[in-house]
Amino acid sequence: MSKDAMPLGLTPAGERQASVGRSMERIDARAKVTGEALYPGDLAIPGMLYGKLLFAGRPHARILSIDCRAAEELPGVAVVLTARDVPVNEHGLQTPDQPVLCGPGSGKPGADVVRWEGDQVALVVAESEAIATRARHLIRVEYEDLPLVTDPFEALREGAPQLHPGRAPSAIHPELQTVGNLISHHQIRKGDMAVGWAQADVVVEGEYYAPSQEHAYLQPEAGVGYIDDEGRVTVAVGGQWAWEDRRQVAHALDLPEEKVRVIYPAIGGAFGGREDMSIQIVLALASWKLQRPVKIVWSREESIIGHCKRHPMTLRARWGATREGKLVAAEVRVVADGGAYCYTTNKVLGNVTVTCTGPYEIPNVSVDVDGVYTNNVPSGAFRGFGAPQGILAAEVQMDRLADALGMDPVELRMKNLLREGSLTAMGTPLPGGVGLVEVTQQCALAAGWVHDASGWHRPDLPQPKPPLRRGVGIAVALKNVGFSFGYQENCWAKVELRGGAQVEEATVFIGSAEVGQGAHTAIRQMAADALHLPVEQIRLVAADTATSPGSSGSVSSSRMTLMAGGAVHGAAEEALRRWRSEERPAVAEYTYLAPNTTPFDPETGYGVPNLAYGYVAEAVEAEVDTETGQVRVVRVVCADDVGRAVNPQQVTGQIEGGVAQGLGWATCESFVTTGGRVLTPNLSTYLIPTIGEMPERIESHLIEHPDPRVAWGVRGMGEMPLIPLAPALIGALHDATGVWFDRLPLLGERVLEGLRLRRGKAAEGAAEKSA
Amino acid sequence: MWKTYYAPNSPDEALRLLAQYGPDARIIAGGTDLMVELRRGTRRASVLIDVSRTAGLDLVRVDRAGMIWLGPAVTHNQVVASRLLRRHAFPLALACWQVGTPQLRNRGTVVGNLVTASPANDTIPPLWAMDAVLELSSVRGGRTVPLAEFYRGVRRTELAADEMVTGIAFPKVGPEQRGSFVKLGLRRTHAIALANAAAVLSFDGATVKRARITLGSVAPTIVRAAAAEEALQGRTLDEASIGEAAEWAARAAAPIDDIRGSATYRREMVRVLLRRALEALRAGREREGLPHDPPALASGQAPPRIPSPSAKVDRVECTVNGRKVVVRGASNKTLLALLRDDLGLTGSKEGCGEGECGACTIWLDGMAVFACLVPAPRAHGAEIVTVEGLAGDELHPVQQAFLDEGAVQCGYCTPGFVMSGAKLLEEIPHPSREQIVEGLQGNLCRCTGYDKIVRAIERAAEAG
Repeated sequence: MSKDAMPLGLTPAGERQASVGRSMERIDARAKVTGEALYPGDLAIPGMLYGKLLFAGRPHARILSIDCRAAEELPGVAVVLTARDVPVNEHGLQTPDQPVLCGPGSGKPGADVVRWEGDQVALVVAESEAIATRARHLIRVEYEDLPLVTDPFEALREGAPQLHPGRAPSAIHPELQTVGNLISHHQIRKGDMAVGWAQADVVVEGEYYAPSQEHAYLQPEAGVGYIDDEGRVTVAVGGQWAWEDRRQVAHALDLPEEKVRVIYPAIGGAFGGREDMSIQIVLALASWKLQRPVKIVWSREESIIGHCKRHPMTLRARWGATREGKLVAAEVRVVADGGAYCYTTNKVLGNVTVTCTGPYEIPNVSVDVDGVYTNNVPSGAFRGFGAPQGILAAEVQMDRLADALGMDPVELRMKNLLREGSLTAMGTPLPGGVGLVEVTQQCALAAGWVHDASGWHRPDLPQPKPPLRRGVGIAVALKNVGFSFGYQENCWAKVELRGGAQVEEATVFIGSAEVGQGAHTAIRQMAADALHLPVEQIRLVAADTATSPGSSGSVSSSRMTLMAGGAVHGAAEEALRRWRSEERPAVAEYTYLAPNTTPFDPETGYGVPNLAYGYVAEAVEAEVDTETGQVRVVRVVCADDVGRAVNPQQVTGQIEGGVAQGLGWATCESFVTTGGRVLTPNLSTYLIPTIGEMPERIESHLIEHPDPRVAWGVRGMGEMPLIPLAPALIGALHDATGVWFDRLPLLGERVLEGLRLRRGKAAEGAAEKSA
Repeated sequence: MWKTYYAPNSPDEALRLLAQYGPDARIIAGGTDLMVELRRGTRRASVLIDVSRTAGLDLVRVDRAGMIWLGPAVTHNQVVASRLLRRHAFPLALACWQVGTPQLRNRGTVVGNLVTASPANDTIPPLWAMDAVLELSSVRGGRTVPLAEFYRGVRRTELAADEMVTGIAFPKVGPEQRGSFVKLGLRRTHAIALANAAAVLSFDGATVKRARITLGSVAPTIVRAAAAEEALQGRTLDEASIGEAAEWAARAAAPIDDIRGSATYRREMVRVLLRRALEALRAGREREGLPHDPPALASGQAPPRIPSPSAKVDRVECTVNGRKVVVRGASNKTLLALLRDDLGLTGSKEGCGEGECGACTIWLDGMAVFACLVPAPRAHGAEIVTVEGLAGDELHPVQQAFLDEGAVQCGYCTPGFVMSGAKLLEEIPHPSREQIVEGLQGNLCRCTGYDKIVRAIERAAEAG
């Protein structure tokens, strides 16, 4: 914009340091360090009642009857809600396959069946939490246990108990299946496998198990429901997509959406685990019925049993390459446990379909990915959204191919990485600005790889004293940014400029949630630059469906900075135009529509599934205690193509946090269930990394390879750093010990077993030779 | 959870209350186990008798015969900090250091650890290996029971309903003796033992005259590995004797499979752990496991006595962030609930309710503690600081450093980290990176990966 075109009173950009690109203090940090920030569990409204949910506590059963009389008669109990009190007893982000409350009498077929132990059966609302808890004990539920199915392979067999019979096909989600326990199916058929295998000099086969993972956000689910001053039933909760929460609440309560309001106060972490409903609907239902404020706070145990997990899955892979290291064929077969309900299984598995052949150009590809209903805790969104699982298989396959070819793992990757114009497994190129080669190079060099005329060479690490062994590994990943598979990505924002000759007040309205990732700070920085104002002058009104009449979409799939950037940019430009034509206040709304995507072709998988991607490479240096099997990550190098770092300090914060979660998934986090029962329902049994598990050094390398189509050129990056950690660690362990691991988490016992098997094989080999 | 709370002024008063309420009552000191059990309903008690401030019970002394005596209110951190115990009860000091986190060690007591009677509890093996004897008291009188005879099964002890453990006595680990403790968990810090072991050896020159070897977490109770002891007696510590002892120890273990690990792995780990303990003793390296100046997250003053003549506490009068407050009707809830619900101080968060996450870290009489595990009436007469009371006109340097370093993401853990960090710097103004990690191991963060938090503490230390 020329200086003449500047609105009056605004400093031209040249005379003011741009906000985008600077490490600025977070908009919410001061309130968080002083304890003033209010999270859902901190809210209190005079006259508020307390709700306690009764979970099924058994993984598969039909509810014959629910007797609430004793609970209702307890003094101080306001109401006990069951299935018959829910106007439309169903919900679901993708397909409404889950009852709000399980039990007879709601008219919804199948709503009398509980399908996982965390299914909600009744809500007690009382004058105090203690009374509600006592009353919950008085509810008598008569169950008829049904045969269990907790293994996804068993669930696919003929004759397995059917969890959701009679499903109708979905027009918007063609991958959803209607028969048996199969939730969704995806496939890719590219090239000619027979040709691929014929060309392959080396073939590597593996079976990988990518386990479940608990989000373990520090703030368990909590919220307050009330009727606001405009008569709307309002829930103040933690979530990721206020508009979608509102849709599901309104649907279940059979209310028009305008009668429902969703507000997000400070949210104590999300990582995908707050995409689906937990307490939102019952909270709204109770406060609507009682016309009184109601609060629900889950304990950690309720949180762990009651919300979804990362999809556990088995990935069988068979890949072939030529002697020169060119990939020629990849066949992958995936079976994923979706748990009791379809949260985002179909979309997570779409992403597994995209990522399970890695960021490589492979001419012949065959992929089949199935998601399956079982009586386990539902699987849903979790940072990476299928990519950690897909990339785990792909990257260990690459390492093993490199090993089989006697080639350096970076060398092999360099020969096959997708570049501008290369065709993905979906038969189409990635959108412009592909940073894979750059991130891999930077990461490898920083981690000590040497690149000379003969190619790439892994560093030879100095070895610690026995029984310790040290090694280094590397992995590369790509992941989609934004909603995909034909969905028209969109994000709404409004900019309001007030003042006379000069802008005195600039307000940005947007629906996005701040779950800790720093979106609101980034949005404010982008708005400042779009409006040519200092960042301090930008006021942000966010995360409330009453103040943001348009949807900004979910804070997921690393999309918010990119999408909000587009929306804020558009709204700011239009508001400035109106300001210049003397409108006071100058107000403009804008809905950013991202480049379109297409669904997978159902037969071949052909298409443009994603509007944008993030690119990342990670190297892990690790030490193994060969007597206990304990693994210690010593150093992590992460090179991340972020397009443009709006706030570099927050970007490195995402990298360090993603590394920690990836490290937890790979090493110490073990979500254990048996017969559908969760055996690790608290933080003393489900162990996430403490400060003591972290490497001394996490080195972030930000590569700014702008996306030419997008405002400020930003790429999403929040999920990327988690994705390659596990396969890079497996590579490091192989470098240290010569053993390939194919299951996570790499607990000491599992690692020691791997070492023992290798020693056994080595001894056998020696015996054969001597014979 | 419980109904009535007493804070007796003398041990006799505690015993009288115990006699009066019998099985309905439970002695509480740190509450780090009991509060979790009460919350989960695995143990019930309608009366709590808090001895954490009862006169004379937090003492460590040496009697004329040279026996060391620990009172029932002696905390893990007291043991870690005690020069006497580091010198003459080193295996116990090392075990106490590896229990939980600073906040748990500030409250949890050694006697409490013994009475909880979990086979995984870390202080039992060293005390047993040091031939400890427990002093049990009731209004009926006193008796002594060797620790070796105290346990009857998983979480079952000799203790009668009206009895309390009023002391632990054991001989000094003498100049001709050396001992150690080793532990393996699923995490490097703050993890329950998958297996642990203690060894105390008496030497005659280089020859082992007598050995005591005990193993934890590998049987329904702690076990003594007598055959392993025999394998060492009369021999020098060398590869052969150590290997044999480790083998016998593995055979003495009778572990089970559970969610943390298989029996096979545990047995194998006993072999490895004991071998490492003995090799460290042979090389004289056993003391490397205990840092010289470990952070306690405590400013060191002894807790003041309760200012009340009556033992029953039904009104909590305390100082919170410099302000006197009086709360009624809070004697049966946690201090966290009192702060949040009665005083509206919602800066301290609940993330787990079992002392795992540290989001409720506050200062109680100068010590960092988990407010979710402190009975509210324990705060009677105490001075409390929460995150709301940390800043004056300006932010506390740790708060400012969290802003400058970008150490805040979702922020739910932040108040707890800030409280731990500020206390750490009060105790150790210029901590090493290792001390920062040790000081913050009781606070979980799921967003930041901890890197910027460490930097923030370093920055605040520089600023201070």
